[in-house]
Amino acid sequence: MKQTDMDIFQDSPELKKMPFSVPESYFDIRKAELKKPQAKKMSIWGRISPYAAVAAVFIFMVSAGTFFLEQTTPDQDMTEEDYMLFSDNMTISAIYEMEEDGQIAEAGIADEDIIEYLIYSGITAEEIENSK
Amino acid sequence: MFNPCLILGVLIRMTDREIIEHFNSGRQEEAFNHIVNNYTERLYWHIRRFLCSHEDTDDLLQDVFIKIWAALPSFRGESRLYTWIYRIATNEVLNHLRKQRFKAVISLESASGALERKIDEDPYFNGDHLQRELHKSIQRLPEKQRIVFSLRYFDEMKYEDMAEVTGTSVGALKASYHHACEKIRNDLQKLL
Repeated sequence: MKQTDMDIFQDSPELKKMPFSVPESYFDIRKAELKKPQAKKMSIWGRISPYAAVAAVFIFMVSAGTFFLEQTTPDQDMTEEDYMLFSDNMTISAIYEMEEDGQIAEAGIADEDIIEYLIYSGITAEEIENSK
Repeated sequence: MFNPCLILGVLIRMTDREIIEHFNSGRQEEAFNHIVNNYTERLYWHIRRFLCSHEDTDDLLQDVFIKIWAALPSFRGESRLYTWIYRIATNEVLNHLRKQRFKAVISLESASGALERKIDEDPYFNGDHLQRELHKSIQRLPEKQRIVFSLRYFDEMKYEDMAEVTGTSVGALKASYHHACEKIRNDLQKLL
């Protein structure tokens, strides 16, 4: 079987010949061009294309990352209603102290709240009065 | 026994040594011109067997010589100039074929199909039906087998030299060549 198969290559030496031709005087012209000094230099695009490809990938990654972050980060400009909605942990007094533009004012703890807390803790009103 | 390949190999080695001597003595341009004279035709046909188009081959041939010129100062003489040049050319061919494969994926056409079509449409093809089918069959081979078959069958390169060009062991090259021959035989047998 193998011997029979081998015959295709052995019996057909013309298969080794290149069945392609080239334009007339191609090799002479090509050799002369290759020997010119400018032929040894890569084209400008050939030289910068690897760097351009890296830059394009970098720009794409930064753009895609920025877009992704913008899509997934919650909106920072919350309205007064949004604050109310998400303010479960805020004290009632703090909510009442919110200013008109929707920003929370300097929300210290009210004196009444402190006094209420101290009385609740077992400290008498006289002791509180004396400590002022 | 008369072995043209062996005689050619000796001649090439001598010439290559002279080229390297020219280069090392500061006559770089002259050395490069010798490389152009000695290798233009051989590299052209080596590339043409893979790309199947005169225009593509012409473009790539210029790129190969640009690479040779740029890399010549770093040639250390660890391998022979002949195998070093063929390695550069083969790597360039492989890079080109990978780009073509990527383009073929985009255009929904197989890379080998595109190359076979180029053979059919090539105005410079002047072979017979069997030669046409041989070259089409070569395009259907896996990349490595295609290289091994081309270097061995057409260039009659020794396995040891092919090992330098491809960076593959002689045993693996022999196996690849055997598989490639089998596949091509099967394809051509159908036509007989």
